[in-house]
Amino acid sequence: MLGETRYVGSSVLRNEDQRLLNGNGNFLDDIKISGCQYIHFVRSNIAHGIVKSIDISEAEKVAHITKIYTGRDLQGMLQSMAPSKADGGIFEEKLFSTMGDQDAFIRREDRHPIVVGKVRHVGEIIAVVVGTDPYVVEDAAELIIVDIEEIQPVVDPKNALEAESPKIYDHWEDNRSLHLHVRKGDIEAAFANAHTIVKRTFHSGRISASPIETRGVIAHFEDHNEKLTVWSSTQIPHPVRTYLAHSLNLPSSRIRVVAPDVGGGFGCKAIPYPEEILCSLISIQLKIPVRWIEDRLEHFTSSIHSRDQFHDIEIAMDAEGKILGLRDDFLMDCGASNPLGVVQPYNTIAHLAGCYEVPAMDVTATAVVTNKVPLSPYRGAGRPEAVFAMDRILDVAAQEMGLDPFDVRRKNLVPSESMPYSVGINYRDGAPIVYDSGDFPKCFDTAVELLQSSCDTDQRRDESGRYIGLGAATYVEGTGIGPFEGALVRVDETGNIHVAIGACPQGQGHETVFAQVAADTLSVDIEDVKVVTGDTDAIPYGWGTLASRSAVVAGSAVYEAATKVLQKVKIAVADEWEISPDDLLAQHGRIFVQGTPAKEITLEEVAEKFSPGGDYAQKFTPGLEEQIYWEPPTVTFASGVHIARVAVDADTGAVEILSYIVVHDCGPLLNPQIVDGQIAGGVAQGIGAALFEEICYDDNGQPLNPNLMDYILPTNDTIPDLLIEHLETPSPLNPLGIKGVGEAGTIPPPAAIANAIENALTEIGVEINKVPVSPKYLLNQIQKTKEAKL
Amino acid sequence: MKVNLRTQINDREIDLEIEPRLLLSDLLREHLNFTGTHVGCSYGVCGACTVIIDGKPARSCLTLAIQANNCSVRTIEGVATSSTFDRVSSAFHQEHGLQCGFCTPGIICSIVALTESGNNIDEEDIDKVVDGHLCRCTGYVNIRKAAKKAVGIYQGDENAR
Repeated sequence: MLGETRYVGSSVLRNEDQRLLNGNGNFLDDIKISGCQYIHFVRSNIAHGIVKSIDISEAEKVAHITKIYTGRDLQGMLQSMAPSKADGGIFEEKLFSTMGDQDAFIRREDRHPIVVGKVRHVGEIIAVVVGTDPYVVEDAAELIIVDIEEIQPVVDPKNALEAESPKIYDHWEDNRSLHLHVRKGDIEAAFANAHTIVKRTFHSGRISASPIETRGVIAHFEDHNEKLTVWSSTQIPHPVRTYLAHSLNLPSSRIRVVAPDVGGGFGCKAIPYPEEILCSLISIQLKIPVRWIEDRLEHFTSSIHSRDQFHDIEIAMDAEGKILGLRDDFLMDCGASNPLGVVQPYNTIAHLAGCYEVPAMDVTATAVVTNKVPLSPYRGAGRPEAVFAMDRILDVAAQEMGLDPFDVRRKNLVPSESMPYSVGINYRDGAPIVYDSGDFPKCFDTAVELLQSSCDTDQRRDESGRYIGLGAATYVEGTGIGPFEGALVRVDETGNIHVAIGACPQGQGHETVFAQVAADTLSVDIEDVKVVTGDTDAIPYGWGTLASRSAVVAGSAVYEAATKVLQKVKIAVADEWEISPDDLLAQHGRIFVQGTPAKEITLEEVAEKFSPGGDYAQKFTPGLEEQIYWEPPTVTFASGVHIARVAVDADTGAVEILSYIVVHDCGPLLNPQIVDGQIAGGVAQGIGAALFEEICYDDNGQPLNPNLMDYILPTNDTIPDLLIEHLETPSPLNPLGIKGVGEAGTIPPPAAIANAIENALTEIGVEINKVPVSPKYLLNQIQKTKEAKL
Repeated sequence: MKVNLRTQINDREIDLEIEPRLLLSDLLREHLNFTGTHVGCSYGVCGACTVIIDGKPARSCLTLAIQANNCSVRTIEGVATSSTFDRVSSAFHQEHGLQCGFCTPGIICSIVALTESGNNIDEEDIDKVVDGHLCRCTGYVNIRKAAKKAVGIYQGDENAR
């Protein structure tokens, strides 16, 4: 653990801000390489069919066009995009071996990065145009004639399960991609003994991560040294490198993947994509650098979507409103493929019980393929769906029993004295779920106190007649998942500290936060620390920034590596001075004997002596650096409570969020301002999912709103100021006691806001079974309720 | 067919033969290497590509380069040399008004144009400007604070930390 700190725990202003503010950021599309040509992908405008012919003859004649490729041209040079250990697959074997259900399975699609034969969603790549002018490659693409024989598309995930449904993968026996089943306790007895049982269906809509920077790839194969450099707007440079090595049959050591400044990711940049493989292959083929920048339409039709789960959830309560048991059977529409396998559905299972004591549980997950864009985790990754189902059914149960939903929630929280609390099922890394730290009742009570002190909780109508309501939702989040993250810490011969990490940021402030950790661990000035991220040549192994993991795993790696560097310093200096290393103290870049600060040596001088050939280098290992790959034992659980207060206009269906309260526990805050920023951004995305965002398809599998005019992202006027408070119970699972925070804000808003809307409309008696609660949906529900009462 | 474009960009006189269909955003980014102007949607919704044309904020992705003929265009690179910028950027830095930073130059251009308009600025003016930009990271809360701080109608809440 860190002792007294100068930086960790304070809101150190960010090192990365200046370049981003004055326009000197280095985003993917800002990287200019001489001789670089442009790539445009021709994508399918048909959801399901067989490519019969592709006529490129007219397009080839266009000036400035270098080459056009189709799937047939490239198929022999590419392995299929089978999942490697560079993704969720790493834990799957262990998870399935511990699940204890013979019926559980997962199927592999074996897709190609470019269509060969069958098209499975609008947006899939059919041909690649390469040329010297970005406008002309698009002109040429328009001249390519693609003949697709249409097959009846599978759009509704429930239809996908029917025996007569067309099959999307011919080598599968049906359209099921995955089936999982987890149970604990005596579920039959729980329901047999119940005082009240309620059952509902809840749908979390299909949404898009929509970072403001789209994806993009630059690939540059240099023939002279046979080295492939790929710049990609990705969250996972190291796994992309592994993927490229396998797909292109190249030694991993000949590939460098760089994630430059990345303009938001939120999970949609956390899988390897076909475009990374295709750009690389084409650069190798043509021996020229090539670039592709995703446009916004492509983002909606080729970057992963998320959520889209339908839960049939049933809860058994005793007479006092305590939970006896929970059954949930949910269906996930994973679109044309499921790139990260169990991650999203199993996260839902693992987080379903959340902060509550649930003695018996029986949860089944089924994922089906349909002719839509593939589904993969987006910020929250299965957890918002879980909380939406669980915290909604709790409110429905409370309503049914005539109890206050806040009281029911409070009554069922895992008591603080039960910590650490064993849930009784496994996490997706195969380890038993144990809530290692936290105080759920205190978190809840703090949120309620904040609510009571900030508004009149009895107000039911505002001056314009709008209905006012309150809703709460709670959550746990397994954060800091493995398998590992790496950090290299070096004191160079000028006394400056170089830190390289495998995790790479998309706005989370890694260059600041990890400098804080390194500076405090080594007791140096933060100005002397430089953090390098997102470069596979800077550190051999890495995993990436996703799953609320970087602070925990990369933070621990930086701490451990810096600690070892300091130990090395002390051992060498102590040896020279003939004293014990324990008598030495490090402060502001100087090493001295405790109590006799007159005798000192600077870190710079020590580093010089460690340079190969130097005094210390002769006796110890040369180089004042350490590289650590920190492996967490399992995830550490963050937790929290959100309360929304909303005003609902029953005539227009418009919902305004009047106030929003967050009480969150992610352990000790490394940088409070950055933590609050992560929460605020997460909540805004949660509000988007709760009220505005949904990707709609028609019956032909055509996306109806693949643009930012019809797919509504939250804007400034829709997001209130937040009331945020923190509990800081340290995690026992890592040296800094920290828990992740990246996704937290996104998890409970759909449930809290839907609960608040329902609460506001108690008088009318409306039920909310789906997010987003668009004005159209809400007016329909109001109408339906009124008609039912007639 | 090419057309002649004469314009002033960041105080530099530009005289170029260009394709009539060339977008201003592409002229800036691809031809003049002012890559601080970012393109997020290319149809005027997100606001990342905002530059200042003759003192007014404008979406460079919706503007043909030739429409800037005889105009004065300032991108974030030009804006960054002004004294107004120092105040605005320092407020964004202090209030954590940016995360990934991709939408930031466009927002800064809008705020700087508002500040330089010479009008009295109140909270509503700031809100209107921020309403016109998409940011996916910050949840807007800190952008509002930063923008208000930049124009002197918010002092920052030091106790909050």
